[in-house]
Parts: sequence; structure tokens; C-alpha cells
Amino acid sequence: MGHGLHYQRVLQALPYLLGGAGESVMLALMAFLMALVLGLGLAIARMESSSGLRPAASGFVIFFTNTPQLSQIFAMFYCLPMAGINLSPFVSVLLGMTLNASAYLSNILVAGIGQTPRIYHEAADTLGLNLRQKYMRIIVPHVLRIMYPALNNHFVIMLLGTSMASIFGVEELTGRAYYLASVTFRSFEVLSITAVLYVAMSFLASRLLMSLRRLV
Amino acid sequence: MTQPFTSYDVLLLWHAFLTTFYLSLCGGALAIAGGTGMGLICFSRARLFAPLRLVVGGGCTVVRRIPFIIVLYLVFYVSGMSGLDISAVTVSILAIGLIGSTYITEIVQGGLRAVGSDKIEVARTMNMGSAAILRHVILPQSLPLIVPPVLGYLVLFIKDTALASQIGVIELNQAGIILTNRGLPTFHVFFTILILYFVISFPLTVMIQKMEKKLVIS
Amino acid sequence: MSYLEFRNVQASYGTNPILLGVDLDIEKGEIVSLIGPSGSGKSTMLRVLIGLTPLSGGEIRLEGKPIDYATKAGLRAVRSRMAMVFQSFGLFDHLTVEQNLLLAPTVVGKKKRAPLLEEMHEVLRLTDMQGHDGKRPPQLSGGQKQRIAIARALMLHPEILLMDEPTSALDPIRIAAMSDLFGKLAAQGVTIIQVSHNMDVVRSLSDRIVLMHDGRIAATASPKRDQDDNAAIARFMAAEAHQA
Repeated sequence: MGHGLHYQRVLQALPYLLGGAGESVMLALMAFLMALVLGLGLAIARMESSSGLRPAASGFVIFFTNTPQLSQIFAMFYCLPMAGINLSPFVSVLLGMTLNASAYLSNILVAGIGQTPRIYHEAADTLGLNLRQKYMRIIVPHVLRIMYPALNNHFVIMLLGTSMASIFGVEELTGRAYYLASVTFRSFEVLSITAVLYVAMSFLASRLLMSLRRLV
Repeated sequence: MTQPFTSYDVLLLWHAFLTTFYLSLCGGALAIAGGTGMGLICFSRARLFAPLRLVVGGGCTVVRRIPFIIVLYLVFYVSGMSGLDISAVTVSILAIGLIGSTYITEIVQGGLRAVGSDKIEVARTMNMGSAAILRHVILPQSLPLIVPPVLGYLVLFIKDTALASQIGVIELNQAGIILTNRGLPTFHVFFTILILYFVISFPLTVMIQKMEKKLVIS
Repeated sequence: MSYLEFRNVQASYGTNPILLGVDLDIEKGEIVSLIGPSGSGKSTMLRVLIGLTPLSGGEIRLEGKPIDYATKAGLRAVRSRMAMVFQSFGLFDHLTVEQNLLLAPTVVGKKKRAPLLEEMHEVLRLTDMQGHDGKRPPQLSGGQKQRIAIARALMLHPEILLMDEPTSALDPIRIAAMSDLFGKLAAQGVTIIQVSHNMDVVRSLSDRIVLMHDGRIAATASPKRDQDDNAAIARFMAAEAHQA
């Protein structure tokens, strides 16, 4: 085979790659939503000194933001079966990404809670809302609004981050790209098309999320 | 706890630790250099740079949306196809530098732009030249906005170096896999690996937090 | 025994003492206006009363019983009898006017939304804000926000209404209308404690004027009974009116 670029065979396999892209979006979306819930719990535990969970929550965040996600998932991937827990690659990666992202999202949410005007707390307190009501009705909706761009940004980071699921055998976009490269021997062509797909995917995702902003 | 590692294993870990450190340092330095240069180009208003601004601006937005692992492979294959004989370590550093500089370009440009145009106009009326304005008006106000997030990205790049394992660089993550495959207790191996990453990353995180606190106070 | 009694009330902000021992008796249905230079502790009086700023000494008694600010239950009990209109309004920007007004009655009071709507429209009519219930606070002018803040407090049916500069953003006609409303509430037995810089409102509305200075009460006067009998208060009010 010559050194010229041959895109035809790769383009024929586009539906196969797009299926992988769907898997990537699915993985990112599920991990993001679960991480948002967990991250919220972490953020509140870190902000409300009365919780008693503060050191544990801070420790969790410091650990997960200072070590690579890849190694975290490897650790899980190797260690969980020893504890008798056998998860599929998809679920393992989903779990790993959720834990990792929850630490980062809690940082964003903590910043947002810190930026909530004190008058919101005071007004909510004088209106008689309890802690849970105050957070669910006032603080969290406000934080989700002001932190929407940062959360949107992190979702895109997660979407791109799903590519490392391929290392664990998940057939998302990058995983399918590897397979395609290995059977066509057209690594560069496959990779460049994959890169274009990721760019398009992340542009679409951030556009879509921005247009959904007014719903928050 | 029993010591599960032989001296050979410890040596492997030590070399892997140094490699991770080296990748982070060189990749980070390349990213800062590239990002600062491109950020300045994007910020400048010189007519001469207009086409370059377009290329750099567009390139950054696109490259930032390609996963690191794909960039890594692309650099790997492109260097192979073009006949350049460079090591996997160099490929990793180039890939980190490339992705990193696109993020830093954005921060540098944003930080420079955050200085109000009224202040720049005041400096112009005082007959200050472009270089003097940059040095005395823009940088003192924008550096505090630029440095902490840039360091924040460096922390992210340290963790991205783990992906270099995929092109055969024996850095910490790869060392973990090698030791695990050799039958060493998985939990001990990966616990050690994560701690070693933490040792590189955490001091930087603490430094950033201190800087940010200082900024809030001042 | 008075309805509400401040006994040697002290409070500080950080290490800065703000209230240095305040004694004040307030009767049910009374309208009390706190005046004084900024930093004299007027707003802090409202804040300690509703439990936003802790007491560092002394106590406050409601119907003869010391208010328990230390426990959640005590705090909930006292707040359920009061409402506060904040100087900066404290409206929630992500909620509509209707949601701002119904938040506490539905979430804290566990009432159904539908029966509350009629009451809400009545309160909006009283504050001349009818038809604005679907808007969000950022769409309102300062004066409109202030009237919504008052309306939100009224939805709580407080026994004691605390207001920090409740007419600061209003034009003279609205000020007259709101003063009228406050007067009617007091006649129904609502105790009103307000901080105000508007000396016309203070003079015409108050049963009692309390002049604060450096964390203490400097003087009190009852304008409805004896016209500005206190020289210090007369002087302060004349100076304020002159500034305005």
C-alpha cells in the first residue's frame, strides 16, 4: 500500500464510527448526571460545617483531583474483581468517570455556593426554610444557573474523556476507531476522521447545552 | 504491611516516577511557551498578524475539542509517516504541549483582555508605547488572572501523562500495569502509583489555592 | 410586662461590638422607627431580633418568655411569628414573583398552592403590584422589587414585621400608600419595627421613634402624643431632613 491518503474505505465505515459516537455520548451523559448528584452531596458536605462529613468529602475530592482518572479506573478494574465484584468494562468506566467527575463538579458547585449572595441565605432562613429546603429550592437552582457555563464546559471535557474507555475495551468512538485502524491499516485516516467526529460532537453538545440554558 | 516490592520493582517505579515528572515538566513548559506566544498573537491588534490570528484562534478551538489520546496517536502516526525518528517520550511531550498550549492560549488572551480598555486609553494619552503599556499596565493586572488557572491546567497535564502509557512510554501508570501483570498484589501496586501521582500533583494544587486566596484578599 | 422586651442586648460583628446593651420595650401593634447615623446598630437590632446575628449578651423576651435563639426549634418558633423586609430586598432571581411569594407558605407552611393564589393576588393588590406575578425580579424596577419584598413578608402573616428601609426605593405617592398600609396592619395588631431614613415617614407613621447612637439608644420620643419632645431626636431629624 502506498503512502497516499485513502479515505474511501474509512468513510464507508462511518455508520460504524457514528454508532461508537452514540456510545460515547451515552457514557458521558450518564456519568455526568450521576456525578452531578454525587458532586452536589460532596459540595454541601464541604460547605456545611455541621455535617461532620467535611473532612471525608474534602479528602475524597483532593484524592480524585490529584491522581489520573486512568490510573483510578485501572485500580478499580483490577481491584474490584478481587473483592468478588465483576463489572462490565462499560460499567467500570462509568463508575470510575462518575467518581472522578463528582470531585471536579463539587469544586465547581462549591465555588457557586460561595458566590451565592448572603442575602439569599438570610432571606431563606427568615422565611423559615430548613437546610434541605434552602438548598433544594434556593441555593442549588441559583448555583446551577450561575455555574451553567462551567458545568457545560466540564460536560464537554467528560465527553472527550470517554475516549479512554477504549483502553478498557469499551466500544465507544475511540475503541471502534482502533478496531477500524487495525483492520484497514489506515491509522492516520481513521484517526483524523475520528478527531473530526469528536470536534463536531463537542461543538454540537456545547451548542445544545447553551440553548437549553434558559430551561434551568 | 509486608513489603511486596523487590529492589528491581522499586527501581522500575522510581524510573517511571521520573519519567512522569519529566513528561509533566517538559509538556507543561512547552504548553506555557506555546500558549503565551499564541495568546499574545491573538491579543495583538497588529494588522500584520490578522491572518495568523485567524489560524491560531480557529486551530485552538478545534484542537481543544479532540481527546488527548487521539492527539497523542495522531502525533505518533504523523511523526512516523513523515519519517521523523523521535522517541515515544518526545511524542508524548509534543502532544501534551500541543493540547496544553491551546488551553493556555485561551487563558492568556482572556486575562489580557480583562484589563479595561479605558485603562489602556489612559496609558495611550500618557504617550506610552505598546510594549510599555503591556509591561506596566496590562501585565500587572492580568498576570494574577492568568497564573492560577495556568497552574490549574498544569495539574491536569500531569494526569494526562498517564495516557502516554498507550504508546509504550513506561511512566507511572504503565509501571503499575507491568507490576500487576507480573503478579504483584494489585491493590498495593495501584495504591503506590496513585500516591506517587499525588506527590507530584498535590504541592502544585496547594500552591494554586494559596495564590487564589491571596488574590481574593488583595 | 411588655409584648417585646430587649434587655441589655449586646451583639458584635466579628470582634467589632455593634450593640452595647440595648433596653427597649415594645407593645403589641406599636410602630417603632429606628433612626440614627449609619453604623449605629439600627439594622443589627432587626437582625438579632430575627436571629440572623447572634446575641453576645442580654436577652430578648416575647410575651414575657426569653426567646431561644440557640436551638433550631427555638429559632424556628420565633421566625414563624416574624417576617423581614431586607434593605437589599433578598428576592430570589431564579424564581418568579409568584414563586417568591408562595415559597414559604407552600414549602414551610405546607399549604396548597391553589387556595393561596387568591391571597397572593390580594397582597399584590395591596402593594399595587397586581399583574406582575409571572415576572422575575431582574425584570422589575427597584421600587417594584421593594414592594414585592413587602408583599412576600405579608404572605407570612407576621405578628411582628421587621423592615429595613422599606420605602427607600419608592416615590412619594407610593410611600404614602405603603405608610397607609403599614398603619392598617398595626391597627390589626401587627407590631412593626422599621429602620428608616425618611423622616416624613418616621414622623407621620411612628408611635415611637428610637434614636440609636454607637450601639446604644440615645433617645426615644412618641410623636403622636408629644410632638418631637426630645431635643436630640428633633435635631437628628432636622439634619436628616435637611440632607434629603
